[in-house]
Amino acid sequence: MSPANWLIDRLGMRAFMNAQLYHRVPRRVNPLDFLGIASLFVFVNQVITGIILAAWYSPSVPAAYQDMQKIAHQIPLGWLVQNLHYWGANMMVVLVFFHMLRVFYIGAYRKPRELTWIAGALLLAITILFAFTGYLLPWDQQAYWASMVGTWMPFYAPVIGYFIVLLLRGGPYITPVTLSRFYAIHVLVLPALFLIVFGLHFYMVLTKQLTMVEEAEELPREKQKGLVTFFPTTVFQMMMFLVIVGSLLVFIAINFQTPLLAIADPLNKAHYNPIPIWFFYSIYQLLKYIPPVLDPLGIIGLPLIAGVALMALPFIDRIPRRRPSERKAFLVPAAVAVAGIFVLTYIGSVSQGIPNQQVVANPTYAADILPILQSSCAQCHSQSASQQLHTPYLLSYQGIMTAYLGHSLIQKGNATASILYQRISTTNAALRMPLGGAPLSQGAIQTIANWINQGAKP
Amino acid sequence: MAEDHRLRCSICGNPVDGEGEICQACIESGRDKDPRELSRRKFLTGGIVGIGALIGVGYIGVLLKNLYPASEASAKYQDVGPLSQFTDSYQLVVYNGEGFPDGVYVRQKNPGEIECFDFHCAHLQCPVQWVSTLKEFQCPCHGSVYNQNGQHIAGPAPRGLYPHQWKIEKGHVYIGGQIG
Repeated sequence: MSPANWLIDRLGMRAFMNAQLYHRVPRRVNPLDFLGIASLFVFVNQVITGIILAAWYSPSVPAAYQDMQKIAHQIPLGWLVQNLHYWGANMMVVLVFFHMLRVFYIGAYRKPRELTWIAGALLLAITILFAFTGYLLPWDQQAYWASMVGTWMPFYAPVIGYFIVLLLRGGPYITPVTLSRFYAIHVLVLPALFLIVFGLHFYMVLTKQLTMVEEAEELPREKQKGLVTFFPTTVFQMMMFLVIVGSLLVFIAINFQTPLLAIADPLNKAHYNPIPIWFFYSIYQLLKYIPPVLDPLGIIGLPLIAGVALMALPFIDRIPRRRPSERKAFLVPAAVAVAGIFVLTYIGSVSQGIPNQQVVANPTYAADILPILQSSCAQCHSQSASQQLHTPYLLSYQGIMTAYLGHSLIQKGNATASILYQRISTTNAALRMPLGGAPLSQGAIQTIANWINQGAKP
Repeated sequence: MAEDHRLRCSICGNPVDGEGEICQACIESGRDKDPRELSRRKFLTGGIVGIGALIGVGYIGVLLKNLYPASEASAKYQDVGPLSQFTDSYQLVVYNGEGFPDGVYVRQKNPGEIECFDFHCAHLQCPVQWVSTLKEFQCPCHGSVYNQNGQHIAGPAPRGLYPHQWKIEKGHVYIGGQIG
């Protein structure tokens, strides 16, 4: 008796293993069905690289930031471990999201797999919390200010909002106390939660069979001849998929360094302009479109409604049909929601200014120009920044009309001769303002041109 | 020794043959319908759930009391410089009351009267900048604007800037914890 057989025998799992490994499945399998196992693979990558990082990392200030640099530059293969963990985290959010989309599309969440789906939805939430708490740990400017904004979001929840903010931060703002808390949540609380919920998820997957098995069993007898056993044929196909996913991860980790900005400065002396974590871009962008009174709805309401809808889905959708064309009532709204998330995420990633700037025909500085400058130029052209960085001061009418190093920024009545207009409209990325950022929207550029051409009214 | 894997009667504890939680003897003697037996079982069940809940509530209480930060209003005052240093235009000073630097805008509004605000925007906590020529605080993130009294005048912020406590002693300005 081989050791494996001995173990299965003593565990009393012979029948179970036979049922799991040797059931009949179609030979051709859609690789999208392997997104779940790919998520698990990346999770294991996170565990292994996370343990190594924890051995070198100390969650205190300024040690946390210095450890990040040490891991990246001094410790043998530290850079690789760090990059695998960083890119693995991003990849996992993407994989879990698409795994969920796939399961949704084929309707595999319905009876008797409600619990599989609910546990999966919880795993998505836990994955996002992992990424969110891990984001603060490098303690650079990006981490600090993104977490400052992120941990303020619960403030908009009724009654208990501020209570949650204080509990998360351990004080009114982000301090080393917050860093310790996020570290404890990241390496103790979330892994324990993840394993419990994943245990339920995996147990349900094993006991309720995969939909592909169900489909195989429904096939007419003559077609059953083309079936193969799950082990080893399908498992080998899975391994091939994991090799592709793993190769992609390693390729990214070797070629793209984990970003690390300057160490977190709670006084923000360099006027760093906070930007959110990429999977919050959609909410970030949405907040720009909705009136401020609806902010609580956008920050708390929508994610809450989306979460409840996800959990309730298997109890709402009871139509026993599997073909997508018969499930339009669910697929169409979901497609709209997902498309919305994609579009908002994309716009959020390329724009830092006011979106959809309307072209103003007769603009004045105070009413139309200043808001554009505030949202897109304040980082380097506010009064204090202009003194420190020796840049022109643009956020007042006097400032923008004052010659800079002997050159007027504005030639009243002639936009194309004005340096300000030239620098925002040029196609030369090395010169175009905002420097290193996305260009202003066409509406904003045209509004500024109109303003100059009409004499640059205050 | 062969172990007895049969289910046990939940009243008398003797082995039960076949289905069910209660043995034939208990059913025949009417013990399963005895009001005293029913209320005894109810009492014990309640005890099991109750004691478990009590232990859980105890731990949650300790956790919240331990992790919830002390009131900010009780934070210590800190000397940020002589009164004469402050004009009626804001200066950003470093406040270390929480043991970690925080930015506070301070000005002498009227002789002997201080006005001070935390530099985190009331919308989503980005650092606001004081623009002295416009006499405004501006936020770089979503464009909230506050006037020189900290009141919200434009942009998405739901309220004005958060004031800090202050006092003047022996010609020096002391800044305390944030209010509200």
